[in-house]
Amino acid sequence: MSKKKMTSVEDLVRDIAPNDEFCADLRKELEASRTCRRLVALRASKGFSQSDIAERMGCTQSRISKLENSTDDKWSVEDLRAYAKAIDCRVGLSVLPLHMEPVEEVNLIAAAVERRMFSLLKLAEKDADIANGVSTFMFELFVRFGAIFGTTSKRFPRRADGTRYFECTVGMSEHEVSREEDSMENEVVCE
Amino acid sequence: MWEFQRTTEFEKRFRKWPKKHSRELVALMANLQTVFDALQEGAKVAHLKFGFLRTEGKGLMRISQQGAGSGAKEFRLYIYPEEKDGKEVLHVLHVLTVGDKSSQSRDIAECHSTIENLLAHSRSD
Repeated sequence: MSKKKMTSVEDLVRDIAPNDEFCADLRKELEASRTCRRLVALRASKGFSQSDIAERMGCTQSRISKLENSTDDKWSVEDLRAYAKAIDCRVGLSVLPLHMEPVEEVNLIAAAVERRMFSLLKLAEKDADIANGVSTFMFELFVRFGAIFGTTSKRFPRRADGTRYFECTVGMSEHEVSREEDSMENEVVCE
Repeated sequence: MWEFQRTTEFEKRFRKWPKKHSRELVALMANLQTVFDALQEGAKVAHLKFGFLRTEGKGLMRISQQGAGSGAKEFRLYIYPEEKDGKEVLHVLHVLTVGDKSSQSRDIAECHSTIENLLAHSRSD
């Protein structure tokens, strides 16, 4: 058994490809059906069968099968919308640079998170109940991000002398403030 | 988080794959990626429903070359999704072997044996 960690079929076959053209053909095929595969993966993750989707879209199961086995260019915008709706999703539009480094992608996501956090902030200003819910959510989000940084720092490779490049430890405590204030305050301590 | 692991048998057969059936092999790999993406998305193994996927008992699944186009030869890719409990839960999609229809019953028997070995190995960990 190979022990190399592989998380895509390209990783899986890169070093054992039967001929030179194979990897290029595989990449082309995967690229050609990227959106379609994403939708099918979502359909499966929600436990829907092709027949379920056909029923929701008001068409035959064979049409769904044909769509799922086709390439992205065979899907109309209406197919996309209807299929997404059938799996309880909606279609959004993102126009992104053709090539993005992982760091750029993370920065993009961080900017999106920041925008939504400010939207939540505005919501919280409207009502004490909403503020209470938003504060709980923000606390949970902070814990989640803390856990991501903690896991990453643990798994991060070390320098040649065995020392770490960086460490991230997040400690936390949660407490209710007095009932008179009718709100909950969350406190997170970063060490 | 799922990851692939492949057997030496799969590696051996993959390396010697005839060039004239490359499009079937590409289709098998694309279908495998769909299964992997669905698992990564959180799909339960028991709920995986695709036209190209069949179960063969003992947790073994086979993927067909569906999508390779008309006139394609029939091939099967054998996989085994395993969820290991331990200190942390590991999700491994084992890629066991690949073959054509003529070797199907022999391939299935060999895959069942490989799965038994994997399970025995997991129990001894």
